[in-house]
Amino acid sequence: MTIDIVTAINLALSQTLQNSANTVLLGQDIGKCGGVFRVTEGLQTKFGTKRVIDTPISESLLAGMAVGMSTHGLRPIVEFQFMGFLYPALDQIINHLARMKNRTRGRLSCPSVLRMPYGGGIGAPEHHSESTEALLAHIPGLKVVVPSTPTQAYHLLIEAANCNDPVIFLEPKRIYRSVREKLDTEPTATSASQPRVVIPGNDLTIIAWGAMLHDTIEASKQLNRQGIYPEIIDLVTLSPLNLTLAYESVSKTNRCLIIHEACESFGVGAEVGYRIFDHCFNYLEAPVKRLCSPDITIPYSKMEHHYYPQINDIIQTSQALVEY
Amino acid sequence: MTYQHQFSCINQLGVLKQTVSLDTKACLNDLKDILKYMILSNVLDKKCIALQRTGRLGTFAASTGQEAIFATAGYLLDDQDVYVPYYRDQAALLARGLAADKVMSYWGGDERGNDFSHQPQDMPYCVPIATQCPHAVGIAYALKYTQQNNVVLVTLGDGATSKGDFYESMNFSKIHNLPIIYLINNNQWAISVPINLQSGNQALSQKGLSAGIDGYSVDGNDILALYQCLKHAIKQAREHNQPQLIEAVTYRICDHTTADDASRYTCPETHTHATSLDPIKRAKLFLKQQDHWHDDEDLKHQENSQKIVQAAAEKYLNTETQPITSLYQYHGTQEDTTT
Repeated sequence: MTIDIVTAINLALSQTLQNSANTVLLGQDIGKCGGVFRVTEGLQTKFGTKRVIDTPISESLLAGMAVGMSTHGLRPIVEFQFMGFLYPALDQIINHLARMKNRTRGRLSCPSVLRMPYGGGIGAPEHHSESTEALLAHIPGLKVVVPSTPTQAYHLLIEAANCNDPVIFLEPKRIYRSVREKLDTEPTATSASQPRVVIPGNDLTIIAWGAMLHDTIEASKQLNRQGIYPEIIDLVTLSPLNLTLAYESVSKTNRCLIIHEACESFGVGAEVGYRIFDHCFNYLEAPVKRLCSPDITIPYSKMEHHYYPQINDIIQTSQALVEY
Repeated sequence: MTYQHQFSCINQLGVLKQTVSLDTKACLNDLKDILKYMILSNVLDKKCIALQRTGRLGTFAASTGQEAIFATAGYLLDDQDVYVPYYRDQAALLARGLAADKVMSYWGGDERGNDFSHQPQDMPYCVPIATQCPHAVGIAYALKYTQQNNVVLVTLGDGATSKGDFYESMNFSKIHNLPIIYLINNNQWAISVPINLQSGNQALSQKGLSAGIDGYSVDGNDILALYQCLKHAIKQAREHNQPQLIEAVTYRICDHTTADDASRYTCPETHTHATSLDPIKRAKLFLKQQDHWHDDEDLKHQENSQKIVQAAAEKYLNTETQPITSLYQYHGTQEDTTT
């Protein structure tokens, strides 16, 4: 039986609640409703209202409570309904959650997970399609991860829930239901948050994550028919960056393309691209390229497809890079 | 919702009001101890300002004239309760057992001033206004969840009552009936913004009404009123899981911090009057009338505080800076191992 990403996260939450009596879930609509995307479906019935807490829509409070709970023995997992609604909580996240361990010299730490769906492509209303992960990846003290498959989402969430520091868990909602596979609950030898080679290849390295990873895989199939074989890397963890795998790959392929859904300037692609340029300079046969959304406000749903990179864009940029 | 007009027990001359009864002699002994922490805090403030003015301390927020509020709050909590300060709380922290040199350490630019080994469950200083309130709520939830019979006391200034974090916190506290006390130090000023430009409320304690929380206003320079009010609130929170809001009304007779110059915006007459309402002076007058403080103790405790603070300053000034490696030590795994 195959499952989707929503179900995988639900199972991981259930498993975590089962294994850890100090884990609590917080968020608006996560109780009877099961969350706006049904990620927490059935969990309140199973674990009770004290552990699966339906809260007022107070984002700053939720992040702030995560600070208080996590410094005092609980392990909160907070659901924010959409990334576009996270911003009232940034004060708490940046000023406290990320800093508490440092500013108390390790006396207090904040083991907590802040989950939220991010990204566009589902025809959602205004403010429901944001991909502003760079805001969070910029903050020292936060770990920012993005799953792209059900099995990975399952292990990544369990790992995040067991982490002794705060983890931002970004859920690519465009592929919440569309990517399915048989769930493998056996822990893997390496950490789920490590970057991984999804498809090996020799002609160029493409780095992506979340929903864009699947568009990249689709583009790669068509590129293969043209005799171009990209090596595709799923970055998984946007911060702290571990690019060892990417360096090895680019040293072999000599070309690198980074793809993300967020707008281009000051995005994660800039940081990854710079590091590859810096580290692999002697190996590069073409400039490191980024394929991102333009520096404009994400359009309403009717023109959304003109915003984030499409499969054809990936194919064309890859061709140009190989022919450079 | 209970709204009471500003509660007070002793007048400016230290005379016990006729309507007030002193419950026990133990209360007077407690008040005497609280007064000692008030004096210590006052002496510490002066020393910290002197250190700052001579370039040996960073910006410092004094609490002169507001000592009764913090000393009483810090003193009345049990060891296992959780104190959640903002940044003007030295009297409370001293009463909780914090060494005076740690206060200097924090304001002198050393994170170790926040390590709070005296009460490791207490939260560190909190500078961003009102952001400590949601932390306190999370802690109160954790205490109730783990069935510990402890309470959380969070302090804030009058300015913080204008922020969403304060309202959101009170709101959640009441929904879940959490063991939490909000203590507002209404010193009438948020840097230069006076209370009448901060709130249109008759009293800040009325803000509890928005969340269904009991609110009390109390004379923040009246040590006995604070003692009775805080004791009641702690009991309500501890025994009945009823969140409480206390507004302690006082006056900031010091600058906001050493980076401020309150003479630019305060009225000299008001300042002079406020200075005459000094809570330390009033507490001494009261305890003398109750035969719990004697003239020779003024000097004795003043000198004792001077000694403690002087020793703290020497320790602080002779403490080596942390090793540079400590800058990187407390962020989890941050580095890209290959760069």
